[in-house]
Amino acid sequence: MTGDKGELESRIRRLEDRQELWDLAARYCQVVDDRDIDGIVSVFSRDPTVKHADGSVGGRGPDGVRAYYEGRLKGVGVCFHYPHTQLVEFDGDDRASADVNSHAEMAVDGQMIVGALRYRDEYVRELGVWKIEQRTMRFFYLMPVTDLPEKLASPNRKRWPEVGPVELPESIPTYKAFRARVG
Amino acid sequence: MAADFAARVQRLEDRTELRDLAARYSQAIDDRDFDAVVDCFSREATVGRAESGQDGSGPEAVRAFYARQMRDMHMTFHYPHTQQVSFDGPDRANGVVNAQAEMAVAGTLVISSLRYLDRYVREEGRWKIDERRMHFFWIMDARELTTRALSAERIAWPGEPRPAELPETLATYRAFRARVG
Repeated sequence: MTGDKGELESRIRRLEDRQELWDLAARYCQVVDDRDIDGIVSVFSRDPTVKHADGSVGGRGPDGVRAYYEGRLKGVGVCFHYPHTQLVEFDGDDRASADVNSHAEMAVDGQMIVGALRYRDEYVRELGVWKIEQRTMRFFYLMPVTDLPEKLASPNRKRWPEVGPVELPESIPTYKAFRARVG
Repeated sequence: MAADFAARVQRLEDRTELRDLAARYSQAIDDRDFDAVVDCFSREATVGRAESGQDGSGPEAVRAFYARQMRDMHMTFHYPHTQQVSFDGPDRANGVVNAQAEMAVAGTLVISSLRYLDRYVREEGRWKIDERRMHFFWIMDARELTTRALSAERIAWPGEPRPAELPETLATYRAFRARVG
């Protein structure tokens, strides 16, 4: 019976972990929208990395993360980030990774910019609290909302701050294979 | 008490797994990962739009249905909002998933708001979609939303515009409209 109790406890712990990781994804959005820069740093681990889609580092370490978000948010007015789904895989008791699919809306340069993106995350439990160890942003699109109807079918769906291609879904092997098959 | 406690934990795990199932489905569709799509469905699964008949059942029918749906689409982004679950025994459940989708197709943006009416079954320890029916609030070219959303014919892509299922077919909605005019 003690074995049963131990097994149940670890299953409950896993459910609590899922809840806490979903809260982490939610808190990230809110502290970004609130310009709570200390709050942003606090959702990251002691040794975090924020990466661009191409793998280059946007910020490393608490000070690097702070500088990255200070810089990125400087020219942004009201913004609203909202996560939809978080697909978590655990790697032991204190590490996990996830894909987080999200939308973002930002007032910037006199227009409303909208984005759909997928964060690739690595999480670590530090002093009993789940933190983001690494976050990589890949976009489905990022453009003025007025451009969406005309430009969403283009491969250059990053239209702010400059025009260029995006990562998703074109870089996904299953997507590429399907397009190659059906033309 | 111990058995009851274990059952309550199991129920929470089931809810988490069913929520993951709805999320995995969306991502697999957007990634055109058809093996992952098929893995979301049961051995006897059926899927389709509310207005269509059955397209057959099982993994190959599911695969063919989505390959057909996705042929003319480029980027898509599906996102579930809510999932209401009612259990029907330990290994069966019904779900209502409210969701939206954005699709790049024929040089434009098609957007939709819809409700998946789901049945789930646990097969070999994993929850699967046994039946998924898509009922639309609207699906149309984004440029038409501000005008066509006011009409009843909100299934406006693909093909000729036709009436949407939601909310007009709901008994509560009809009763309310009948009462207030």
